[in-house]
Amino acid sequence: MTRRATACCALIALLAFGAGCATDELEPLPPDKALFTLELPYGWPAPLLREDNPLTVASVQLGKALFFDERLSLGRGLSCASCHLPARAFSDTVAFSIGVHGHPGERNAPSLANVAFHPLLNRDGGAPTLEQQVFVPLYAEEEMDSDPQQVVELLKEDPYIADLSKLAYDRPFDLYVLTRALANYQRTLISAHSRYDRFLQGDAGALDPSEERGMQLFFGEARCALCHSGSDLSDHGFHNIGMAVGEGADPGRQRITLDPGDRGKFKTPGLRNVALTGPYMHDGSMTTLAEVIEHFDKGGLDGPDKDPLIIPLHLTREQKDDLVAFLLALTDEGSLDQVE
Amino acid sequence: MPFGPGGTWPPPRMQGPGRQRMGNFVPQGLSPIMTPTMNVASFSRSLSGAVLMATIFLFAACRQDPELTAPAGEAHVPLKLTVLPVWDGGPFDKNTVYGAAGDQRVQVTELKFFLAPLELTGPESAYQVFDADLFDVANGAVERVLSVPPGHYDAMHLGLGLPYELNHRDLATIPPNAPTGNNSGMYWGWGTQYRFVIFSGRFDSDPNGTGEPPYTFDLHTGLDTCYRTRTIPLQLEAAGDDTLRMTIRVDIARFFTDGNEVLDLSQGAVWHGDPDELPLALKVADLQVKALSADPE
Repeated sequence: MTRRATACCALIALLAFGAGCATDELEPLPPDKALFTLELPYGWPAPLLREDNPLTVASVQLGKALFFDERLSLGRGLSCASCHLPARAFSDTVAFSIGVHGHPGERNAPSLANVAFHPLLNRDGGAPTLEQQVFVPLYAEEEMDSDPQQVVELLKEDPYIADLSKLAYDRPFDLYVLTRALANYQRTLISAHSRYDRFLQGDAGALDPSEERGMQLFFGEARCALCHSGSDLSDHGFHNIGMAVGEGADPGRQRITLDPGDRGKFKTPGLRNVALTGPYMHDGSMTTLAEVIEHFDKGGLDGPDKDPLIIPLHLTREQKDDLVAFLLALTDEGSLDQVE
Repeated sequence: MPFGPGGTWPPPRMQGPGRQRMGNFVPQGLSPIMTPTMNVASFSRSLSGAVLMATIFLFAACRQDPELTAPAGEAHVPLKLTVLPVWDGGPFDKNTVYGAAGDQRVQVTELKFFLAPLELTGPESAYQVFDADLFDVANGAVERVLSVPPGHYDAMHLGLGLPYELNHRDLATIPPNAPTGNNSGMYWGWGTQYRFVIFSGRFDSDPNGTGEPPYTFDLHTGLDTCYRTRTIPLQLEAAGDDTLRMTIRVDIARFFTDGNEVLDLSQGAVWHGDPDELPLALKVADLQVKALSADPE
């Protein structure tokens, strides 16, 4: 163990529990516990990992196998990848994905890119961890409508899954392994390799003049970065951006908090690969980026709960075109999937 | 107005390497203090050691509330707990249509709920009988064989629903057949929390109606704001080897009125977490906890 690592551990213990601790020299990890190496651009924050779910190679391999396995819907034709399409930055092409019963869901399937950085999951923030979020689509009647324990019973006899479960978590396949492995695979879906990133890394020619003007608007006059900030181009906060109001409107975050002040608020989506993730908004009601920009240019729909950040912008036609050009430059130039 | 990644404009251009390779390990809730140059594997292993040490310290530092400490060294006394559904003090049958407050005809077909916790308290000691248990009483009384330390208990403290710390536990860490496990049928996937009470059946607002009531009601209370606690006086002497008997009565007729408020199903008969109908859920939760009583009083 390095001295620096020891010091960090002691600091964590002191900060978290108010006590110091001693650490022993530890043996090297066996090969099957090898930690997965995430590739991140220099300067990015560390992703949110969990102490009970080390990001190992075996765990992400198992997670990837599960992600594409239709047995998660008890063999009724849906896997996670059915609504989170890799070719669409792990989002869907339709406003509402169709569940196992042939009915549409209630909200647009968001991209999973960079979910490792999200403090809360789902558009309403109802899941506190990626591990717990796994239960949401499994249970949802309009999605997989599965009993998670039945899923476990179905999968645990599969030798490939059983072996990887033992390798990754030293235990037979169960709900714990199911949720941890799926969470870890999703943590590896990093979107950070667009022309915008190359521009930030010093490649001045990575963006053309229109895209660069769009970037300046994005971080300035167009006020996008008030919410779409940071490496993931999201503050991961919740905002009411002036979508549909009135009876029957989606309560958004209020459904979780029951706070009337959260009415119609949804988590700010990251904008990476936004060219691929339409239709847009929590309800998939906008099919093009131009529509989205028009919405914000008008200041959204009026309503008592609208975020005061959302105001009319009065952008010119050229400015709107430049903004779209910049958004198109946020598309990754390679696969998001780092798992072989 | 200057905006940008990290709040500044223009976004900082980095002259260093374009990528870093990270297999870092940052527990949620703790500061991500590992640097990109740190040896990842050693960090992970040393962190495990640190967390273990800190956890040991934490447990050592945190003592149980002395008021909830049972007398030590004495054999427990067997306790048979019965959770008994009744209608207005009399027998309850899920196939029967009852007359309820507000001139309603009601047939209750589902009633399932968490009690969490159940504690017995006395002048000198207190004891948590269980932290959480699930009771499905639609088909009649449910019994549990438990035990308590010897002593005199003069009150029962219980919660209807789950307290925050249990309501927000990770379902995957709970054995499937535990009261709060996956197989309870109480988990609300959309909120990663639990239903506290499932109360369903049929109703009619016409007191002169006949036969099966035409409308359904489906009141699934949950979310932290619907958790209710109550302290009920009782007299329980735990001594010797004889099995103690204790009954928690659930008077379903009182789900519809406490003598003051009336649950009028024609004004709202469904709740599955809709914030617009929250007052209905709060009324249901208030009435339901008041409908609990205990024997021997």
